[in-house]
Amino acid sequence: MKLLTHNMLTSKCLKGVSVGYPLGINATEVTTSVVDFDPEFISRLIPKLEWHALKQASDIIGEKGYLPEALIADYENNEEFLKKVHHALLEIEVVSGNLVCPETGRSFPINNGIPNMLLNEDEV
Amino acid sequence: MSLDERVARSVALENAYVHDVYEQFYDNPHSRPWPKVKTFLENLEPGSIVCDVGCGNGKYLNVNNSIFNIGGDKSRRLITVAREKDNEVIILDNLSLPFRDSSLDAVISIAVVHHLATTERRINAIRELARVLRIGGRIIISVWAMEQSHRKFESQDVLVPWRRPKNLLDTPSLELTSATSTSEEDGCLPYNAYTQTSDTESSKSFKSKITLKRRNRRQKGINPGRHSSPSSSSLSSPNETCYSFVRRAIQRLAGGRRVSMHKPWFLESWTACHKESSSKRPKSSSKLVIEKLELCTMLMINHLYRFDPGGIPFCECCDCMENIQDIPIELRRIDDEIVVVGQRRKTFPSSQLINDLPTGGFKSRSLTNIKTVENNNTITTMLNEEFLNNVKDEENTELIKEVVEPEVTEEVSGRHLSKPKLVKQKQSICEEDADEALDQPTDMTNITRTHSSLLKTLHLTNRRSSVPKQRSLNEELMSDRVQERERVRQNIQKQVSLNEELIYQRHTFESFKDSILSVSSSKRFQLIKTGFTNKIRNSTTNIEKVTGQSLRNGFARMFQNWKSSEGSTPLTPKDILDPKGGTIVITEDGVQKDSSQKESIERRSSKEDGSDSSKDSSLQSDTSVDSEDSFASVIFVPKSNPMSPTPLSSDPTSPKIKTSSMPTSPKIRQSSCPTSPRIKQMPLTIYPLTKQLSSPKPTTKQEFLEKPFLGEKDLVPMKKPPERCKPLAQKYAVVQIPEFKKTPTRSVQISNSCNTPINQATKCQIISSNQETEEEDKTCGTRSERLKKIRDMLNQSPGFGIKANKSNFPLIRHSSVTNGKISAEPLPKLVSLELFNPETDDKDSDSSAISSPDSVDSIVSVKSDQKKPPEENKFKFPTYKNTKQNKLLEAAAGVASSLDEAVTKVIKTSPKLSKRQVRTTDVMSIIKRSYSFETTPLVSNDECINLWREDGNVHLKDFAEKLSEKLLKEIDEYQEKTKRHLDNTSLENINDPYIHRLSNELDDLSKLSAEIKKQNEYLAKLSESESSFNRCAVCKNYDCKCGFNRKSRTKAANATRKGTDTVPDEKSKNSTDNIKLDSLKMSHTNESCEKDRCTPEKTSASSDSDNVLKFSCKNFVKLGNSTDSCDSEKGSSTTSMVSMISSTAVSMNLLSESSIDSMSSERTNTEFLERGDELSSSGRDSHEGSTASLASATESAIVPARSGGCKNQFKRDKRITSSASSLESSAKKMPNCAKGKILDSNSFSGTSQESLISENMGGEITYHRYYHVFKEGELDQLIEKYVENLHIISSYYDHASWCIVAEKVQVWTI
Repeated sequence: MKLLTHNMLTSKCLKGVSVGYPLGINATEVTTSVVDFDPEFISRLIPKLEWHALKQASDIIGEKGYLPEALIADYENNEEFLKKVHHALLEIEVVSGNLVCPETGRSFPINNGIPNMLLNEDEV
Repeated sequence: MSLDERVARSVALENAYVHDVYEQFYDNPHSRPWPKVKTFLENLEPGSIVCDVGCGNGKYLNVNNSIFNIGGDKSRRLITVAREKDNEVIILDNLSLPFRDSSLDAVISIAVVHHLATTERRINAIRELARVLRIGGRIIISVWAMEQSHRKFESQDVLVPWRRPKNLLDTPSLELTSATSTSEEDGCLPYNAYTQTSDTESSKSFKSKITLKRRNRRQKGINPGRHSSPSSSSLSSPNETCYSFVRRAIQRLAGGRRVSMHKPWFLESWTACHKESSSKRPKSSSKLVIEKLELCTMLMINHLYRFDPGGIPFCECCDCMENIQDIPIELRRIDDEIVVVGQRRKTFPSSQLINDLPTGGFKSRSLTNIKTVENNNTITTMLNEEFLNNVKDEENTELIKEVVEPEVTEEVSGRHLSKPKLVKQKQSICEEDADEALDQPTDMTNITRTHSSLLKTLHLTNRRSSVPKQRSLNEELMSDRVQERERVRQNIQKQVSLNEELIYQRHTFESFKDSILSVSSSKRFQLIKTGFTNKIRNSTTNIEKVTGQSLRNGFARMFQNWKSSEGSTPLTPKDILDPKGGTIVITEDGVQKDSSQKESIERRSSKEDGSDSSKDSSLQSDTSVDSEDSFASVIFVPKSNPMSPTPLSSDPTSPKIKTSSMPTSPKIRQSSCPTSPRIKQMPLTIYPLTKQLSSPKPTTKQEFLEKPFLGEKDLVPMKKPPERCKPLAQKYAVVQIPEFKKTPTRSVQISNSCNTPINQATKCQIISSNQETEEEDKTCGTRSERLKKIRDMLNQSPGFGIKANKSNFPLIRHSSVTNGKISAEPLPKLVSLELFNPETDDKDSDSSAISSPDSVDSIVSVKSDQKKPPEENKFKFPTYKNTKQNKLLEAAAGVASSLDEAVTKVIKTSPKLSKRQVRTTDVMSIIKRSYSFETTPLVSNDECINLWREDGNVHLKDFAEKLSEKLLKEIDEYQEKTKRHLDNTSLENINDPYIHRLSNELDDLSKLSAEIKKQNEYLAKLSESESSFNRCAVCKNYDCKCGFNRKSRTKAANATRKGTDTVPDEKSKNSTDNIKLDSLKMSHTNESCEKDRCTPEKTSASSDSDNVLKFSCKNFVKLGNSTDSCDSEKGSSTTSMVSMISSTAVSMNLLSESSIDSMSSERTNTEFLERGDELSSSGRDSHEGSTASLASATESAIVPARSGGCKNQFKRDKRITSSASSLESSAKKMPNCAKGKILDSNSFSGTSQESLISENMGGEITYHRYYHVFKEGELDQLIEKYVENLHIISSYYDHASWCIVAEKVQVWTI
């Protein structure tokens, strides 16, 4: 699971959960791969992100402080920043661990890089 | 409650027919993205975040690399496949997407929404898709179309069979493979859902609808081709589909393709239900309702007839004629089916209606269903409406209003989405009906006439039918025009009048009507009830328990309905019923009995009891009929539930009933659901199972052959068998069984005596041969000379024997991975060799199967070996006699000489001298061993090991064929020889029984040989077909071969036993030793379950040999029969193989037990065999239940076998229990699988095996997936009406699917 995916995930569908975002990450195995860097792609992605969630996840899984606290202005032209974001979004993968609902503590297992977001029938 | 039940049902159905199937689903790697979808993805802006909900194997995740694709699917297996392609995937549920709102730039939902079982769930799914989509984001949704050029659907809810494509090429109709299936219709066909029909036609259509529908059914029954048109047939189809589905399921359960038996069951149950319902009915609605019910029942009956294979004319027309596998199974909610009766709606409280509305029941009626509804449900709905009007109930009026007026329905449902657009479609739909409408009256009359008798019952049922409502799964926006309803009502009334006339024609109906109509006419009701009860009793008595249960259940339902109806119209039904109650059997519960005497008390009691009874009965029905009901339950759509409760008085009772049924039903469904699809597969597999069994048969035959031979040849055969037995036993014993120590110790002692195992063994052999020769000399000089020569040859070439043994080991080593161990261990000690050998042999056999080149050679050698032993065995028999009589000995000597010659010939003929020499040496050693039993086992062990290894290498086909041929020849020769010997020797008293025995044995052997030939042919076919996939089959074949070898060995052991018998002193010890060895061998064989199939036979043979040949022959015959039956069933599938294995393992255990005990009781053996057969059959059944369980079953079977094997002193109970436990475990596994908790390894293995078998054997495993096929415009209307924030940009037809591209828009609500 890439952090970009994590940035989209929520436990909102859980019963009684209003926001369920961002999901906490308990990673037991993290891998880093190399993905082609496309500045335009990243710059287009950034507006879609919840920066604080990405920052939080990056701090947990990757290098703390790797990403700035706030999204910098004029990031489209800051290739270094874009590469950082690129690395955080696409190159860091959680292979195994858990995603934790911030409100209920319900954990969603990640196995083989596949988060299992299925809910029990009584949780919906 | 109803909501929960509905949800539970739909979830269960989806789990069983969607998710579980996709877990098993074969992923077609060749399926390519649809061009339209690909274009959709390619047109997205770079940097878009896209989620493919229901991505399957992820074929759309790599279309556009400039976007970020997230794949989501609920199938772990498919998502894993997608993950392996380096895709970003998530396991998710479309109904609860784990994405935050408005987070995705695009969503694609290809072939997903149609797998949801209810309109509500479909809507929720689309809404969920829209939720995660950002404003301005686009979504593409595709769903299967009902209108497909190459596939006709008569109902929108179908179970589409899916068979594993052969070589990935054939893909009947799968989403994954959709490219292939849909290729025909790739072209995009722009359409406007709303354009179609004119209003004018609609009016006609409504009038004609009812008649048309009936007519359609009729026509269907008459004209098989007619059903092709989906719209026309839709009415009849639902019922048909339901019944057909249930019937098929039952058939599969029964194991028969065509089950004429089902027919009576359905009819009876239904009739019974109908009867009860009818009796229950309230007066007020009675006429109309009855008529309506009649109509419905008529339809039902028609359907039943159609589906009944044995059935009357209608059957011909039906789909039944077609290949069942290919026909999509159309589902109709039970409610709808039963429904048919409008009463429920009458009774339904407004609250219930409201509940229904959200489910989309009304919706269903409207858009999509309009056609279907008209065809299928319109009648019922119309009837219901009329009924409602007639009836009086406010609730009814409400219902009508709701139905009539979309606004009302919307309000009720709480959904404000209602749109007038629906009307247009309806109109269009009506067009078709109008044409057909003309025919209705005639059809009705005809139908009524034909089924007049049934109609009576049906009328009764119709009353009962008040309970359920018809709501098709697809139900969509029924709420539309009052006018249409009025028209329909008019039509209905007309029809009702017609029906009434027809009904009146019959006295029973008249009486019924009168009774119903007149509240006071309790007497008539009583009479009717009594009649019903009598009928029911008769039926129950006659019918099987199952039917009885079903009837009871039906009665219980009737009761429930009755109560509800009473609540609504307390007047007649209960009163009537109660007085009769004493006689009424409807529900076994004491309610009726109690109620029978006092009316007032009875009423109350009946109500209460009835409710309770109904609950119980409902529960019972659910549980008791599991398979049947389960199927039905699977079919049930949740929607019906809300309808079921009768609003008026029934409220207390009905809800209880519902509640009671609610929990049970989902469970049943779950259990049944998973099984049912598999069950379908099961029938196919059964045959394959038999095939597998067949393989063991040949082995048994061989054993028989060998056994008689053994009797003839005293020394040589005797020696060989003990050797074989010992090695086997030792092997097995050393590995697994601690108790074996005794035998191994003996063998060790023997080996010790031999010291250097091989060399000593050869020495011992020589010695023994000398002894033997001496004896033989006494009997027959010439023959003995020959034997001596052979022995000398063997002795002279001790190196051969040793080398051969050694060589064999290395061969084995080569073949098997574990060879290294074998090589190291065997050398130091024979015992170790023996021990290792069996394991290695087994392993070798398995591994050898893969290694073809070596295997061929080994096969040849094996053949020669086998040939030799049987010959020896033949001779043995006479020798055995010789011990008792000199003449016999002479004959035996002659036989032995002939055997020696044959052996020499074989050796000469055989291309590979070394192996043959080894065998010859083995023979010699065996002969020698006969005297020195202890020493022999060592040699035998080596030989056996070699043989085993060779066997493993041998290809089953060639080997089996050759063996069979040789065996046949040998048998013939043996018969002749034995006859001659017997005649010549003129055996005294003893001769006669022996002769008889021999003759019997020979007959049996001939039979067995014939069977073996058949089996061989079958195996050859299998091997040919399976060549690529055959590993499993090969292994099995190897097993069989091994079994043959083992059998031969066991025979030899038996012969040795006989020889021991000849020597009084040695007899007891040797016999006991042999027995123990046999048992040990058996246990070992059991351990190697697959390989051991033959072992049961061996064990039986051994036991028989100990006791009497006759018994053995009988047992073998029995085994052969069982195997034959299995063979005959040839669906050969791995499942069957597994079941066979398990059964064989069980039988093995039993046999071993019997063999131990057999010394005292031969009968026990036969019993065990029979039991084993039964167990095997049960195992088969269990296997049939779930394909996934196959692997588990095998495991379970193996485990018990091992447990049995570990204990030398087997007790029947323990073994039986173990077998039972294995069966239970398999059964347990079944439900687990059903639950979807399939052990990946097991399930996969099972599936793989199944697939292989199915492909090879032709017994294909068919999965059924649930589809809700969308009519044209149905999806559009769903979105427009219920998903406000999606704006449809374009809709088109592509790949047999309706596709919609929509954009999420901001919805401003004031």
